[in-house]
Amino acid sequence: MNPSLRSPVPSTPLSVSISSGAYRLSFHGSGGELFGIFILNLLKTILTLGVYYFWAKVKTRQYLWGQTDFAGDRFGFHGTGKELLLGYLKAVVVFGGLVLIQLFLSLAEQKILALVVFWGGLIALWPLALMGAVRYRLSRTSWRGIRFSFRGEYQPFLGLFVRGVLLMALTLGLYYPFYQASLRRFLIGHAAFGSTLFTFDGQGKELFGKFILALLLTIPTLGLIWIWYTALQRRYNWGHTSVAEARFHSTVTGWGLFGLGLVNLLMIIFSLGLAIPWATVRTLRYDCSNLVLQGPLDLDSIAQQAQAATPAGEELADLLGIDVLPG
Amino acid sequence: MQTSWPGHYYDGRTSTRHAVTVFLTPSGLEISLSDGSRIFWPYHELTQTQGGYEHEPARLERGQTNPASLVVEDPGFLPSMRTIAQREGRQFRGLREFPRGARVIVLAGVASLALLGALMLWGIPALAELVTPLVPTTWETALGNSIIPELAPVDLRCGSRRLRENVDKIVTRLGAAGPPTPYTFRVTIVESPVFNALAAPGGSIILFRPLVRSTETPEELAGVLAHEMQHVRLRHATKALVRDLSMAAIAGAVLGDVSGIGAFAVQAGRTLTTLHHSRGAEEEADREGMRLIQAAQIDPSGMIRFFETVKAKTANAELPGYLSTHPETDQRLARLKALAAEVPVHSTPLLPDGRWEDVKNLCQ
Repeated sequence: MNPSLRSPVPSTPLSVSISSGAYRLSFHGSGGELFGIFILNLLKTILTLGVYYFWAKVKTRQYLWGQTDFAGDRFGFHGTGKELLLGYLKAVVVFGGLVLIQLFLSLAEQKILALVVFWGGLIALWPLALMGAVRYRLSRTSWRGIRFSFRGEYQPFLGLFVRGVLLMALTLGLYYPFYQASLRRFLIGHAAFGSTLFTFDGQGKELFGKFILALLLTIPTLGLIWIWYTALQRRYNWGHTSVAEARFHSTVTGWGLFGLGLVNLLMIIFSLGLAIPWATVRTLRYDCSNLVLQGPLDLDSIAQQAQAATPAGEELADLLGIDVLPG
Repeated sequence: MQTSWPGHYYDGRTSTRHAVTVFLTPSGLEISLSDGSRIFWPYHELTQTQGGYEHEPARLERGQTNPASLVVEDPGFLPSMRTIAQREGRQFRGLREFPRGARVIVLAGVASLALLGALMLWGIPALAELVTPLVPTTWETALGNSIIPELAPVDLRCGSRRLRENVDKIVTRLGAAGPPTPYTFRVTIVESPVFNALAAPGGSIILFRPLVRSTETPEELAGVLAHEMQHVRLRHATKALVRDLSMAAIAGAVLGDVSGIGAFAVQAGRTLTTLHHSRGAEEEADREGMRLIQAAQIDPSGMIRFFETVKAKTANAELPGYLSTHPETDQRLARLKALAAEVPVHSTPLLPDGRWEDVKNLCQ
């Protein structure tokens, strides 16, 4: 082979296409394949006395990412089991250390100090874990070979979180719409695809009225109103999320979520849990088919700007049972 | 065999999607771009990151940081590439095709269930036997001390000095007869409606007053104490904790939820505060307890009589909670009697000058 054939591609694209169409997401995975992955992961996890758990996580994510298509290209997941295992060990040292200090203090009859240390530690760790998990997942996700990233810092996020938690406590939870909007503004506002930043311009006050209404209707609707509130909040949140000039648009509805959840629940109950992979696939299909990115966006000209990240936050979030960016 | 395929190429620097034609050559891939330029990828520099599943386009990557990638939709591409590369003895880091056969998955499922069952039945108890001796006794004592205030609130403890002195005498005699142990046995008697006795890890034994008052002789109480002291010496509570911890860890791993390990704290806490022992542990404590009684030259019929009282109470359904995991009282009595008959004991009375009738009712 002639070495001159290895010349790189011209760095400027030949055709620049700025379309203002709608870019769709779609999920192609099947419950059967996911079930196969789950079962083989389970067997290997048992055989390795749990160590394979981290590789299993990577396997599952590689599948889910690889089956998700945006505008004709699949996502890629680039995490490795080894880095997740190391991240887990770090998280265990941090979280275990906190638990041990608390245990030690309470054995030394320092009950109040133990409580303060434990809850103070949790409040400091929670945003670290949440942000770390977002950072890890984004930095290990690619589309068209370009990585996502997160550029937020811990200290401002901790400040935001502590302020939010205090106001939540003082207002007995009424602050929630403002709290979730402020966390989202930070987490999305510091997320990037290559060199292009995402933005979130939603405001808590615009959801506040509906939130109060949902609170009032909780008892008469036996809590079901919260499914409709979740749908509303999701539509609102996506509708205020943009990347460059393009904006997301979600068509999730209360009835849609209700039907999805009900069928999934029945499937899982009657199959004694065996149908969980099929339920997962149904949920991802629904989520993807109800989300589009609209507006002018040059999908071809986004430049790479990758960033290093460690998986400790990801595993800490796992340990603390944190849902990354719910709703 | 088909040797050229349509695909898309991404250079790893921008998101530009280049429509390309890929040619399979013996030593590598030749990627032809629409502007006429060509790129050559040797097989040994490639990593396959996608395409192991049905309906998943093949993705090949080349390079360390920010690798360039090539995507080919046609499902025929990967097998062809593998054939050509292997024929030339060239290797690339590829995904193994996922075993899609239903048989493999069913077998894996059955094997998982069987392994889990075996782990629960034999693996974990064996692990607990192995790990428990490694737990320092100071930890056990600290753990025990931390739950004593909950089990025996200070204002409900019997403070009578005469009662304590008499009970301590029994404990000392039992302690002296047994093998050396790192534990210091301390007995606390608590006012309570419950008929029960507990041994916390580390040597604290709690007797609830109804149990003490039901004994007719100090030898009967010695039977209970010997049983509880053996729970401590054989580290039954610690073993149960280790078992719960491992169970929770496995459940967490199986359910794909590491936070499940956090739930172990709850479960372990429950074990600690109820201090229920498995049937095997109870039988062991009975047997070793009886041997301790015999070694201390205490009349073994006391211990037997105590369990006859328990039997009578169980028959009257007075004790639904206590001894629910204890061996069936009849079998238990039979075993104790057999053990007592094995070794003749020239017993000496425990408290020759004490009047147990008075002592056992003391509290304040």
